[in-house]
Amino acid sequence: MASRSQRAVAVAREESPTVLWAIQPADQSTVRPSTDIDPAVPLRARGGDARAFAELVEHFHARCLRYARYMLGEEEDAEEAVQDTFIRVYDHLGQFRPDARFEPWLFRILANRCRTMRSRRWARESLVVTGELPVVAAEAPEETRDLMDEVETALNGLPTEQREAFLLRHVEDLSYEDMAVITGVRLSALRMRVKRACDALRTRLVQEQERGR
Amino acid sequence: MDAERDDIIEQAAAALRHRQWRSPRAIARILATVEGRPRRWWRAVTWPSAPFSLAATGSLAAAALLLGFLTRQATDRPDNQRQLGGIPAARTLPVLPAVRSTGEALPLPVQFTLRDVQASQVALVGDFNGWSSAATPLEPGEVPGTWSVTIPLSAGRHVYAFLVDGKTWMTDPRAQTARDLDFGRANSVLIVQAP
Repeated sequence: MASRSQRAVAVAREESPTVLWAIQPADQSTVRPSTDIDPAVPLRARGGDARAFAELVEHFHARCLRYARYMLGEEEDAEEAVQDTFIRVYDHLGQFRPDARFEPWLFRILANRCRTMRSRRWARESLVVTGELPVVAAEAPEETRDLMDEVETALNGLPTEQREAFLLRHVEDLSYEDMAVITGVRLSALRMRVKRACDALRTRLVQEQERGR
Repeated sequence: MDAERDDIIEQAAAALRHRQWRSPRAIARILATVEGRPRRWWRAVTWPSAPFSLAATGSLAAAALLLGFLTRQATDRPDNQRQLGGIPAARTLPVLPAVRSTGEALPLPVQFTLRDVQASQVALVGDFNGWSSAATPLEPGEVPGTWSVTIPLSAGRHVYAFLVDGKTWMTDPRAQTARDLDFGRANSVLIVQAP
């Protein structure tokens, strides 16, 4: 019995030789929350309006959780990172400049929380897993594997910096200028990270497709 | 189409965007955590509420004198001044000795000064006033373009900056600079030392 990915590839191949998955970018219109928020909302929150702060959390929470989940892998860690982020936002709204944009400011805090949590977890896990043999990821494919899991597995194979750059650019749709604010990395270096991430993802996903034939 | 965005990448990104983690419980937890939490940028600067003992008052006076002396020394040296269009910018001291009263740690009055003839308003923002742009405005001095404010600070490390005309963030060139990783902005560091 063909796996979902094999079926999707088969269907896709008939339509276009370059389409690998049945998930079309058109899905974005239904699942992608608008990234825009009325600039007055963070200013109202800064002024002490609790309802405005709640509106900020409601608006950005799902995106923040998604980003943290892809960066950290574990849902529990992701929720903790996002909660820390919003509490830090709350505590430091006084530092938010009225002429600045809220989105990159928020994601900068979130990206830092994720980095901190990763390094903390790495330190914790390295104490536990020392001496264990690594799991060979190439042996993993199963018939029931979800399409999105394949993409996520490929994403997880990227170095952290490339994964971060790819997520910010292609999943969160942020500009390179915003990414520079978020990561503190120069534009040219960010472009290189995104390019390398795309190259690596493309290679891995095409290999995955070849394996599924 | 962007060179880096081909169909494979577009669809991989779409797949990643497709997955949503919504957690109303997590949102409720965040809002419950911040509810009733003191808003740090609202916190007013509080002077010590306990009545001053004579000894404590004397100590504070001595501290103020010492501070004035050190400030004078520091600002008289040209290498301590940042040139901003030919104007020395800030005159605060990076390290100040705090004077403690008998048994109780008292905040030390610290004067922050700035010279900027183009500024129409200047505020001191820092961790001690919750980074409020309204809590600690500097007053214009007799000499045009000079601004100053004196506030009580307890012994320890304080991070601060000047906010000129509500939009220009200025560090104190005489103080150490610390960059906040989360907010990406350079600030100045003042260490008030207990004797």
